[in-house]
Amino acid sequence: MNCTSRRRFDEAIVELARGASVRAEVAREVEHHLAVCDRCAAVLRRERLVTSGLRGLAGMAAGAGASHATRERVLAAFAARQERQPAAWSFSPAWLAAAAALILASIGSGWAAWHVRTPRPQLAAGGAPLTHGERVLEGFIPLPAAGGMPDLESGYIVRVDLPVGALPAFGIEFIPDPGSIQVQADLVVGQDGQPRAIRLVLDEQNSRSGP
Amino acid sequence: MSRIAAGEAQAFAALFERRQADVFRFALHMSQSPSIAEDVTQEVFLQVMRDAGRFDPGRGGVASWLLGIARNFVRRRFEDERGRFVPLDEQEFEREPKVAPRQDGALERLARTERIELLRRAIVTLPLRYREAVVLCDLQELTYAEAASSLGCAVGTVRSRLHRGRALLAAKMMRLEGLPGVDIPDDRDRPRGVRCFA
Repeated sequence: MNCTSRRRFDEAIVELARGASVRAEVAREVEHHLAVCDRCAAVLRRERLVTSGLRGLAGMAAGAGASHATRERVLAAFAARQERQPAAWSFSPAWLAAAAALILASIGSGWAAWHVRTPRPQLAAGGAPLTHGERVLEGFIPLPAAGGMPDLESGYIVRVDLPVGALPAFGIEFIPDPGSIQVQADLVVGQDGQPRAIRLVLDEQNSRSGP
Repeated sequence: MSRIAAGEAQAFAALFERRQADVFRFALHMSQSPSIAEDVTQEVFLQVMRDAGRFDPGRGGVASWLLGIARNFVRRRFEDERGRFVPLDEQEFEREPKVAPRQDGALERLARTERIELLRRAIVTLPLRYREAVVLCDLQELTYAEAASSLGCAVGTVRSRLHRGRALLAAKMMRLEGLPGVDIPDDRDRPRGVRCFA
């Protein structure tokens, strides 16, 4: 026997086949109907077949996710955006100049990837060298703003061009050549994209001078 | 979201870790292309970076919001690649070998694996509005209300699209299994008085 009420139970049958909750009285009514209606019984079998396949498909994709490279790109973009936005930072114009230099350097030059693993490095206070386990990262000076940041777990060293006028904001008292307008520096950028420490590149050939 | 809008990198990273797989899988199921899924995931979180302040919890949860953004990027990607991105059409799908209807043991498992593979390919042949409903409700396991929030539709519209999409999938599977088909509800089943501009 086939039901004559046009698809009266179709919606409930689909929901039952999906494993969704259906009101008890509706479920009972459908159950009684399925016993006597070939068409609706076929619909239920069809829907269960679809549900089984979809669950299998969902299971096959359960572990899928974005790659590490995508993660790094997205997080780096967020960090770069925050560096560009004055509202999010309460630093001096010198800081902003340094951030701009950081962004340009990250786009235009190769990154020296430096993934730090345990033990966690500690930022020393008072301008002492940055340490990573027993290794001393020669010449790096913690930035004044790095004290309140989370521990450095991993990061990069990025070489940037900095305006000489920005150096005091990094806690560096440096007397450059009279004609010098920029100096090169290495920045330690942490896992959150925030700069932690700085080291000047004392290479005369790499320093740019003004006209 | 407010912390992300305020520029907290850790909040953004935490959101990415928690939700990127949902976004990736949605784009993957919609396109069957891991590279498109990667691109869409990246675009979604770049938009979150820009628009976190616009998130309105009164209009739905974070997952729904993210999947709604992903849906727009997937659609945009399909439009950009129209002519280059050619989903399997009905004829190509039906040229697939039939799955043996009843087997035991290893053959049964093989048949099931093949059936899932055919279903995966069948999903890509669905019209977008039905595909979105199937992916969100049955593969991502969103509630009707959450899917409606993602799609910008009424709940009844989502339910209608899901049922129609499942019926289309079932018809393809029944043909491939060599089983008799059943009638498929048409768009006349759409609830009256429900309008959707999605």
